[in-house]
Amino acid sequence: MFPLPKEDKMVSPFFVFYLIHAMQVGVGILGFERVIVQSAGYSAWIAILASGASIIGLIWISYRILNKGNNDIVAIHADIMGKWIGGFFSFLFSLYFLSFALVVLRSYVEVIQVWVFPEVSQWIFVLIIIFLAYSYVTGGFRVVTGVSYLGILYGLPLLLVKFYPLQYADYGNLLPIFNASPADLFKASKEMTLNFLGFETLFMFYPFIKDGPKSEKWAYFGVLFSIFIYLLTAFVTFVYFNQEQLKGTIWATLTLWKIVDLIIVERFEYIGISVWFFTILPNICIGLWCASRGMNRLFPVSQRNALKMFCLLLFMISVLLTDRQQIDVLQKVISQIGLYTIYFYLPFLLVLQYIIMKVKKG
Amino acid sequence: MKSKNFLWCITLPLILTGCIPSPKVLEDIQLVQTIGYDYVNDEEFEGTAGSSNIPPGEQSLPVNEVFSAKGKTSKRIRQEIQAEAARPIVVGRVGLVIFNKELAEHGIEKQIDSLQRNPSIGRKLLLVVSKEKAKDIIDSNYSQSDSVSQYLIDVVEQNIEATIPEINLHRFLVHYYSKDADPFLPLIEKQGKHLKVSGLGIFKEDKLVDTISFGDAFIFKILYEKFRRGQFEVELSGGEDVSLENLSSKPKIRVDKRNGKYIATFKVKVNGRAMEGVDLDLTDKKTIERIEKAVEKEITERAEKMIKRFQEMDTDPLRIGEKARQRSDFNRKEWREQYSQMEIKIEAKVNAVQSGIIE
Repeated sequence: MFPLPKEDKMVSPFFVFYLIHAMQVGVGILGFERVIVQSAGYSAWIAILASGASIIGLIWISYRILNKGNNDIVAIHADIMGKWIGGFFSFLFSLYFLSFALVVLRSYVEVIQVWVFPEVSQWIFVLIIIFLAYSYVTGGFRVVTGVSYLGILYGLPLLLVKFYPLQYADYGNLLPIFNASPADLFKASKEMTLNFLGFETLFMFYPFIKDGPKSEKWAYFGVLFSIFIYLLTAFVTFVYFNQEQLKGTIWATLTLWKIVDLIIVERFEYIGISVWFFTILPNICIGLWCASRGMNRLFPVSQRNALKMFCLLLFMISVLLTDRQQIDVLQKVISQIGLYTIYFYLPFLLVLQYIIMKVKKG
Repeated sequence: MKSKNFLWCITLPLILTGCIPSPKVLEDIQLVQTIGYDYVNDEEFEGTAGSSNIPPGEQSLPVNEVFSAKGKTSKRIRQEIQAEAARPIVVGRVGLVIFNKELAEHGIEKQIDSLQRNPSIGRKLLLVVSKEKAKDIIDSNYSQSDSVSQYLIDVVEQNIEATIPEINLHRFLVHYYSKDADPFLPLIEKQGKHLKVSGLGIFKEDKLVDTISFGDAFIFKILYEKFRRGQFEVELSGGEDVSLENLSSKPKIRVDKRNGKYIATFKVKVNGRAMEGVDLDLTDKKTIERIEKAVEKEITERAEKMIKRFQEMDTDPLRIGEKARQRSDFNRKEWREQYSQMEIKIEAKVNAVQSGIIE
């Protein structure tokens, strides 16, 4: 009922590193520092480590589920919950992946509007980005993987720019090291987890990995690399900004780029935001791919048609969201859903799968 | 399928060309390089924008163009200025913002807020306080042939390297937002056909409360940041003048808490080359020692006097409070109560070497 993809559509296990990492580092990194600092002050770096560790645990759970089911989430759902209930949950998962693409797309367009082109209306950017994403996703999963690989490659040089703010660093800002209550740290960890969301796409593209179980270690490396990037970003931001100042800075990383002093560019943010597009694009592509693939598995529609439908939907919702508050609400809702999905639904699925498999065997 | 995609790729950009924002050609915009703010009354202030315009022609010199308007908000002033200008005003390259002393005494929160909110304003922007009206400083001619704005920026920038502590918009914001430190800004004044940096303006939150002299500003720099390439002059007990050049310095602040009382210590290490002692034998070790002692004494005395003044004003531009905050047993309420009476020690250590090409 749910055939596995042909081998010529698959990718090597180590590409999981790029897919997971690309999915985790998106728009969140441009402004996550403020959110976690509001809860836990400059001890918030502990929260990054804590939530990163929990994600590693969740990836372990995901692989246990996937290795046993040896197919994607749609097939696993159908296996353990039957056609209708399983199908319903798979449908929700598809929508969740789509909303992921929506959040990333809309937040990025907001950044362009505030920082670069205040005079251009949003639908133009939305249209261009969706058109681009569409053309990549129709290329298939291999192309999407390629986009995420390139996205990371293009985004990495931006780390070099951190050198400039470090010239104004006040390393004393980090002291005293443990200055937050466990409750504060827990709250910050919860908020930090939102930035690590996105690895759930694994549930959709797992069958596309040649020799799936072997890719597990690459998934861990991907998460570790994300933790490293987040820690580095937070460190530079913490030593550069005063704590009170950071609490009012919406896009800390972008404001950080304002100190960059290159001979040929006065405003580095413009370049940074443009380069950042390559980091955003894989997020949207993977999200759209997973959503449309889910539809294709559930209903008798081709993935291309599902994709067209979703692109249209994405465009319409993005254009309807006009101000900052709405985007904020969207981000909060989606991240709450994501939070419950990974911390409650995944372990639940693992247990359920275990029981049902036992029963079926017996 | 292929040709259809190709068609899309061609037509889409064509349709969208109408949506591209208007390009900004340098000759078609009014590039503002300096901004000045003056006090009018408690509600209104006056904004002045200085830009230079290079008229067509090969050997033409830049012409100074100044616009000014009064209003309650920066945005309002900008609109008024725009009404006067022949081309769209662009603030992306502002390098210097001048606050008039009177305005600074009444608080500059409004202006600072509008500067930091604007995405097209950089963070390396220099801020200064002026003794005269900011408008008069921007709208006048100096002996240099550069554009006025560039000249003003150069004067301040050059001083930041060697004589006054480094401060730009970012540093100002760090001090301003900190709960345990207060900001400071360079003080400038006009002297005939020149502009001169004449000290530092010390703030308490967003209000100017005190100014210190040019000489004290250098002591401030020694206590505030690590630097190279300074110069310091001192009079020895015998009345001879000697100067230390190529001075490099590295400060360290320590805050201790004993029996609930805070004590701060500044440890300053200064290295320099002794020069220009006409009647002095600079090869003599004793003379060098005398010079070192004299410089140490001078730095310590002046620093202590300056810090006493800050304590009296209850302002903390040297961010001693930030250092205290880094202690795990820090209590902000206690600190605030104690700051103006607490003991602050200065320990200067000077290391001089003989120099010059004549023995």
